[in-house]
Amino acid sequence: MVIKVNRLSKSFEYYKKELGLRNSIRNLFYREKLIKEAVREISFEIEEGEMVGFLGPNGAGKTTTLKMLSGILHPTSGQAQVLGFTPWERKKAFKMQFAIVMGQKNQLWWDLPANESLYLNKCIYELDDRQYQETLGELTELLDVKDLLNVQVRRLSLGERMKMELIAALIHRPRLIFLDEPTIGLDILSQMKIREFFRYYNLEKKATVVLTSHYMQDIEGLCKRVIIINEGQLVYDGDLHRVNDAFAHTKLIKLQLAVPVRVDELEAFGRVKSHDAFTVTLEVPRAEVKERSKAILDHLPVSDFNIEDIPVEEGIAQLYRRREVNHALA
Amino acid sequence: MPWLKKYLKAFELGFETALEYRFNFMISLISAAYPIIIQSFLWSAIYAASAGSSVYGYTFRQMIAYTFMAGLVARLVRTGFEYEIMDDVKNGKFSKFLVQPMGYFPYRLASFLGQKVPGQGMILGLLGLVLVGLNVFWGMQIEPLRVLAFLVTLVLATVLNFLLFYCFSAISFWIIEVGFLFEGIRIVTVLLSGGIFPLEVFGDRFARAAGLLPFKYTVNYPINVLNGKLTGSEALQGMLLQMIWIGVILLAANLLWRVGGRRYVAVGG
Repeated sequence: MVIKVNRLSKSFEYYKKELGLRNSIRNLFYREKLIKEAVREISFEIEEGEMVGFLGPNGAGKTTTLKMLSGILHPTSGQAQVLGFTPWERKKAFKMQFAIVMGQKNQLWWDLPANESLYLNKCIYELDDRQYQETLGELTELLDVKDLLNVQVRRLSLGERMKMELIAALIHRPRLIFLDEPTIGLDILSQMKIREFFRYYNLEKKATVVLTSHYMQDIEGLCKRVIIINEGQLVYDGDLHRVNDAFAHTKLIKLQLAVPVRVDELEAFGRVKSHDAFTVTLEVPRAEVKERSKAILDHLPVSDFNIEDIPVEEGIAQLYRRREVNHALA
Repeated sequence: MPWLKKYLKAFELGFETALEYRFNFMISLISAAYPIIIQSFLWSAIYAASAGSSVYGYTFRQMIAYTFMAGLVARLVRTGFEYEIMDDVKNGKFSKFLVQPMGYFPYRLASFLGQKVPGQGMILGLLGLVLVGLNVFWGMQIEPLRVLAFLVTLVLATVLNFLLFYCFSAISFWIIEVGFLFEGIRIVTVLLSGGIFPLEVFGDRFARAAGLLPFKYTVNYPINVLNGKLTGSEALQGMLLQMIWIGVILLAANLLWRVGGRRYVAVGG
């Protein structure tokens, strides 16, 4: 077991300011304190070598959870064991074995070439020269940035910089990697390159990876399992492709018609999700797929016919909208 | 000692960064000369108008010598990392030090010293020139032993000032935007340390009160070691006090950072 989280919670104090100067002035003297429960009693476990997608809408508590698991923040309550350590005790032996990469934060020295920062990390993680050269060679090769090591970081493009950030984070060959939106703002090719790199890295090094991303391709390309949280609460933990099972009591029937049919006629066979002249998507209850299909084939001028599951994105979006789904799952 | 290497590297990177910004440093030297020149005119006027030959126990030449040395020594021990710390805390960059096996305090110290070294070298050179000038034109005595003692007190003064400002920068954990507060603190500490005028200028009671604070040991005391105001045993006693202050402030810094660190909220993605 690499990660074991038990009823972890974190709340923050903050204050509100209403619109306008008058309220700004009022705020100088009096600030109403409010409590935001960023993470509420979440529990889960992650095994060695797993690659888990950690999903949720903006502000759901993903980053806060990752910060607690990496020891940056103390939780308000609850326990966590990461690599056998309590992360917020910040033991050196713990720090030597993991890495966290935040797509929106950089750790490289802005004014110096990347290899200076990488060398600093070599010293920080107390690597010997051979180890360092080996890992550096391998990572720069994989990410295709060998020629850029001597360029000042501020002169690199966003994609190049992200690759350097990844090298800096992985130079000590961590067993556990937290990736917080590593592909944010990158073009499609860079995203693919980085995905490919992590797929390889996870397979080759047996490293455990926890990944948050808003790009579905990142998640579908890399993670078998996803953990979804919303408003600080865990709403789903399981196979990515079974996200829909919980509430997908429906299936989609896609039709190609030989002759256009009026919508109100189509509605007799199921909920019309989309339609133009010749293509129609109908949503029908899972239990009635058979009868409905038969009826459709018998009564409509069908030239092509397909039964599909609701796409994963849609299931996830539903989870983002609804909070109490976990009860339905239980 | 692999653990030492990381801080040596941080020292080196600080050094390199300082060299990257050498133009900025030259400008800061010129700006340091400005108040020294103004004060020299000021003191000329004061001494010309006064009846006796000494003011606050200083002759005109002693006062000008003090002004020059104070300007340079204050610059030598001056920090600047407090703004970086504020930025680290405000923008969540402090996080990276919490997840890496590197202490923030020794890292800051190493990087600070690294950034200081090139400038310190130049200022010490300038100070040497000033001393030679004082010796040649005004016949001021310079004893090699005092110069040596001065250099030792200077190292201690730099460390002490580092610690003081390391403490002040912990305010960042409680108040988010503290840039102006740091500027205020800097002005008050320069004054209390004797970095502008000798402390005697403010009167006996003030000088005695200032003696109870650590600031005096960053500027006023090293200068008094150099210019012969202190006897040998007084100079040694001062060194001991510098070390005691370093110990006390170190403890305070430790406490403040431990309490403050728990307030850190690691904002941003």
